[in-house]
Amino acid sequence: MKNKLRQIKENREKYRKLKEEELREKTKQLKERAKQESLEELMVEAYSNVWEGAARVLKLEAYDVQLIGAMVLNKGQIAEMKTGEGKSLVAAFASYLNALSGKGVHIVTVNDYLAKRDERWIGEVLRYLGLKTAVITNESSREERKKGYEADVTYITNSELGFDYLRDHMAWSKEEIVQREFNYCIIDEVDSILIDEARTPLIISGPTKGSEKPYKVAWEIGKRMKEGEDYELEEKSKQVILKEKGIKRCEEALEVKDIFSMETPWAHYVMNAIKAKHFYIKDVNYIIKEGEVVIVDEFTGRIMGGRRWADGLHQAIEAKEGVKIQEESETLASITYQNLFLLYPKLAGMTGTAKTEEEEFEQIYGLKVVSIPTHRKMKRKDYPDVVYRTSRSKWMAVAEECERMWTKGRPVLVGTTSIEKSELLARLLEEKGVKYKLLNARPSLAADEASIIAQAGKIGSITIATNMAGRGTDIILGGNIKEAFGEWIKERKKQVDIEEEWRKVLEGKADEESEKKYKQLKEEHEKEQKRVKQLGGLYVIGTERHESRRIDNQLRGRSGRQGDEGSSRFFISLEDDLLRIFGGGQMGEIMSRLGVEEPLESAFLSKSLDRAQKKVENYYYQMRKQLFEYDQVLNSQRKAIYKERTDILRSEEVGEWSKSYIRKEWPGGLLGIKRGMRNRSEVEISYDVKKMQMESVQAGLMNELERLLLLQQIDKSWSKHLKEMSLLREFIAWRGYAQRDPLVEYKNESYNLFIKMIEEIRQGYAYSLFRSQA
Amino acid sequence: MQDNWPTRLAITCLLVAIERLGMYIPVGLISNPQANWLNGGGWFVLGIIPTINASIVMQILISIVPALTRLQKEEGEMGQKQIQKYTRYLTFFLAGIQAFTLSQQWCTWLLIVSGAMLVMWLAEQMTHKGIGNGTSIFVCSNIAANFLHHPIEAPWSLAMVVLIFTMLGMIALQEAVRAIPILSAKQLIQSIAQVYLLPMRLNQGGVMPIIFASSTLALLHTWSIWWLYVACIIFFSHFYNLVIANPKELSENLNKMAVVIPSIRPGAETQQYLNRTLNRMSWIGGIALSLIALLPWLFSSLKIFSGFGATSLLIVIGVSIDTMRQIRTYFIANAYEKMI
Repeated sequence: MKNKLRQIKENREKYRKLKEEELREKTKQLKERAKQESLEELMVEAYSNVWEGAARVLKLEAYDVQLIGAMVLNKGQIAEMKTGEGKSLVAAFASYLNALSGKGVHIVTVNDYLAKRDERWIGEVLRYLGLKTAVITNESSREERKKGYEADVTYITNSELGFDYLRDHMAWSKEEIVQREFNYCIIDEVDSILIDEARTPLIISGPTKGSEKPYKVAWEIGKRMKEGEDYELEEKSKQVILKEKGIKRCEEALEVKDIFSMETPWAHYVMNAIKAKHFYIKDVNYIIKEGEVVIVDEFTGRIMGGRRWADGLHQAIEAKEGVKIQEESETLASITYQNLFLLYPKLAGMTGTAKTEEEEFEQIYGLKVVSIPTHRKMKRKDYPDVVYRTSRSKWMAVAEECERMWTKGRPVLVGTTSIEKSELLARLLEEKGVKYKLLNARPSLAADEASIIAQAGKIGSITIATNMAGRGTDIILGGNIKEAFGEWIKERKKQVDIEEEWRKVLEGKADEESEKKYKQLKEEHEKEQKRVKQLGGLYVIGTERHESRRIDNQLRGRSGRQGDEGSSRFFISLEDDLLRIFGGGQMGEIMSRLGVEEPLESAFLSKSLDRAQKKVENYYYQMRKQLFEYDQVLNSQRKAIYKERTDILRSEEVGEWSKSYIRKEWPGGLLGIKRGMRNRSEVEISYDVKKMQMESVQAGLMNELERLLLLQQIDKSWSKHLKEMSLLREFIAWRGYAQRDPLVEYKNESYNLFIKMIEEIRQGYAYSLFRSQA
Repeated sequence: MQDNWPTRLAITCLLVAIERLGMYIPVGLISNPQANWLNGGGWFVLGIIPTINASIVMQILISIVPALTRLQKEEGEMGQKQIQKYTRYLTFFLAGIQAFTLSQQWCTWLLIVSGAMLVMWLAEQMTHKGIGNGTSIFVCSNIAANFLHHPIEAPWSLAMVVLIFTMLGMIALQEAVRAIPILSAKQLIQSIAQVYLLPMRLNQGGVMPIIFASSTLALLHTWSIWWLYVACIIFFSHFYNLVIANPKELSENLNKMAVVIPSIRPGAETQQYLNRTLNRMSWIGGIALSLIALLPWLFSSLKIFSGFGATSLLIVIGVSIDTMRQIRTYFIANAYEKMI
C-alpha cells in the first residue's frame, strides 16, 4: 500500500498543471479503460484525479491516511476512521474509481440530511470530474428515483434503498422498477446499519381488519394487574409471564372462560398491555408527536417516523397513551439489512467504531476491518469511570461537574441515554442557574440540531444531548464558522444557497461585505479556539454505559477530533440498567463495599464494566447470528420468488409462462418438480379457447391479463407464505424437545412450505385464469 | 456461506479414515494383551470413548448442579462454549484414568491420552466442517468396523429377516414421538387455525438407559437375571425422561413463551398433564428398549447379535437418521441455488 501511495503522490504532481477539461478528459479515458483493465490498475490515476479535483473544488488536500482509507474501501473492507478525519472525502475516492465501470455506486448514509449534504458538498468533486451524481431521499418521486439510480454515484439512506428494493419486487409493470442491478456500495456508519439495525427488518405492509376495542380493554385490565402476583417480568428478553392468578383475574374481569381460546384470544392483548406498561416508557422508548406514538431509536436517539412495533405492541402502547389506535397491518414484503447488503457483489464500509465488532463483520458479511491511523496524534484523555451507589447521587455529581466547568468556561457535552434523563439533568442545571443547551428527539429541539452542535464547542457552552449527538456530529472547538456565516447570510438575504456562498467566500469571489464578515468571524473563531484549547478542549461526560461499547466510544469520539485537546469521563451508578440487568453478582459485592454517597473511581471497576458490556454485546451478537442463520432460509426463497417475478415482469410475452403454470410445470422445471401433469392436449385446448375469447375483445388483452394474474397470485401466496414462515419460526424451537436440531428442522419444514406455496400459486393461477371473463 | 455437501461428505470421510488409521499406529508397551495395534489397539486405542463419557457426565452434572444449569440455559452460545470447555477438561481427566490401566510407561500414557484428545478434536472438526455430529459418527464408524470383525453365523436368509425387522422396530422407536398440540397467544389473534406440535420423543434417552442398566448390573455382578435388567432399563428410561424434559420446567417454558396446550390451563394443570403424558411414554419407551436389550438373549442360538449388541445397532440407526436429515438440508440449499 505504501508503494501505491507513493505512486499516487508522484502522479498527482503531474495533474496539478492540467486544465479542468483535461481532468474531465481523464475520466473519459479511464472509463474507456475500465472496460478491459481491472480497477486495481486504474487506481493510481483515478485517485490522483480525485485528489486534484478535491483540492480545486473544495480546497481540501487529502491526507495520506485518507488515501489509505480509500484503498481499503476499494478492497471491499471496512475502514475504521475516527471522527473528523474526513470520511466523506475518502468515500469520494473509492466511489469515483468504482463508478468508472458505469454500473453505478451507492453511498449509503444513515439519514437524508447526510445524504443531501454529502451529495452537494463532496459530490461537487465528482461532478467536476465529469461523473453524474444524484441523491435520493424520502421525498423523491418515482421518476427522480429512477434517474437517481441511473447516475454514476447515488447518495441514499439505507431505508430508502431497502424500500426501493422491496417496491421494485412488488411492481406491476417494468416501468415501475427503479433500481439497476447492484454493483458496489459504501456504507457510512457501517456498524450502525449492519449491526445495530440488523435485527429490525424492513417491512412493507398492508392494512388488515381489526378493531381497537380489545387493546383498550386489555390496557384497562393490564394496568390493574400486579407484578409478582399476577405476572412476572423477564427484563433481559422483555417477556411477560402470566401467572395462574393473573389469568384468573383476566378471565373474571372479561367474563370469559379461557383467554387462550380461539373465540376469546385475550392473552396476547393483555400481555402486550403489560409489556407496554413496564418495558416501553414515554420519552425513553417513544414520544408522542401530533397524537401519534413515534419510536425513538435507542442507538441514535432519533425518532423513527413511520416505523411501528410489531405484533400489536404498538397498538397496546397507543391504548396506554390514549391516542388514536391505528390499524393492524400484515406483512407484504420484508427483508433484513443483513440480506439486503449481501446482494452487492462488492461492499465496503466506514465508521469510527468497528473494531469491537470485528468478528461479526467477518463472520456474517465477510468484511475485514482495517483501522486507519489518525492524521494527527490523538490527544484525548479517557478517564476511568466514577461509580456512585445511587442514580440520584450520580445525577447530582454530573450537575456539579457541569457547573464547575461552566464557571471555568470549558465546553461540555453531556451524553444521556433518553429524552427523560436529558430533561432531568436540564432541570438540575436550571436550579443551579447554569446555562445550557438541550438536544433530544423532541421535534422542537431536533429542528435546531445543526446550530446547537455548531455552538457546542464555544466557550462556556454546556450541551446536554441524547445519543443524537453521538454518530456523525462534528463539534469544532470555538464553534463552527461555516454555520455562523450561514446564519448571518441567511438573515441578510432571504433566498440564499449557503453552500454556494460559502464556496465563493473560500475562493475569494464573494462580495465585499461577506468577505469582511468572514474575516471577522475567522479571527474571532481562532481566538476562541485557542482559549478553549488552553482550557482543555471539549469535555465529554457520559452518564450511563450503553449496552454496546461502540455507542460509548462514539460519544467519547466527539472530543479530541483531529488531534485536538479533550477528555472524557463516564459517571455511572449501580442502579443503571446495564448493571442491574446484566451485572451479575459481582456488582452486588462492590455495592456492599461502597459508602452511602461516596463515589468510587477505579480502573478495576472500569474494567469489570467493560467485561459486563462485552458479555451483553456477545449476547446480542449470538442473537443476531441466530437470526441470520434462520433468515438465510427465507432469503433463498425470496431470491427465488423475486427472480421468477422479475422475469415475468420483464418479458414481453408471458404466454409460455402461463401455459407451463397451468401444466403444473414451472419454466425450467423450478425445483425439479414435474408431477400431476394433466392431459396435455386437453389443457392446451382450453387455454387456446380462452385466448381466442380474450383476443377477440382486444388484441394483446390475453397477455396483459396473464401477466396481471400471475403477479397477483405470486404476491398473494408469498404474503401468506411469509405469515406461515413466521409462525413456523416461532414454533420450531419446540422441536428441541424431540432432540432435533431446530435449525435443521426449520430448513426442512420451510422447504415443504415453499413447495406448498408454489403449488398454490399454480393452482390459484389456473383457477383465476379460466374463471376470468373478458 | 453454505458450502456444498459433497465437500462436507469428503471431509467427513477423510476424518473417519484418519480416526481409523490412528487405531493401527503402534505405540508399544500397552499392557492389555487383547489390545495390540493389529486389532485397533494403537495410538487411538481409547477412541472417542472418553469424549462420550465426559459428555454423559456433563449432561448429568448440568441437570444437578445449578450453576451449570444456568450456564446452559441462560448464557446462550457463550455458556455452550464454556460447557464445551469443561467437557474437554473432563475428557482429558477420564482419558488419563483409562490410559493408566493400559500403559506401563509414562510416555505410552502420554501418547494414549494425546490420541484421545486428538480424536476429540477430530470429532469437533467434523461437527463444524463435515456432516452430522462428529462424536456420533465416530461411534457409528467404530461399531460398523466391529461388525466386520464378527461375522454372522446363522443362515443368511433368516439372519436378514431378523435383522430387517429389528432395524425397522428400532427406527420406529427412534422416530416415535408423542406430538402434543400447542397454540400460541400470538397465533390466536391472527386467527390462524393451524395446529402446531410439541413433539416429545418416546425414547428420550436413546441407548443411555441400556448403558446405565448394564453398568448397574455389572456393579452388582448379577448379569443373568433378565427381569432385573428390564427393571433397571425402565427405571433409567424414567430417569432420563425427567432429566431431558422436566414437566415443571417445560410447563414454565410454555408459559414464558405464551404457548398453551388447547383446553388445558397453563400452570399446575399443564404440569400435571405433561407429567402424566411423560410417565406413560417412559413406560412404553422403557419396555421397547428392554426388548431390544434382550434381543441377544432371544437370538442367542442363532448368534445374529453376537458380534455387536443390539445397542450398537440402535446407535448406528439413530446417527444415520440424524445425518440423513442434515444431508437433506444441503440438498435443499442446492435446490434454492438452482432457482436463482
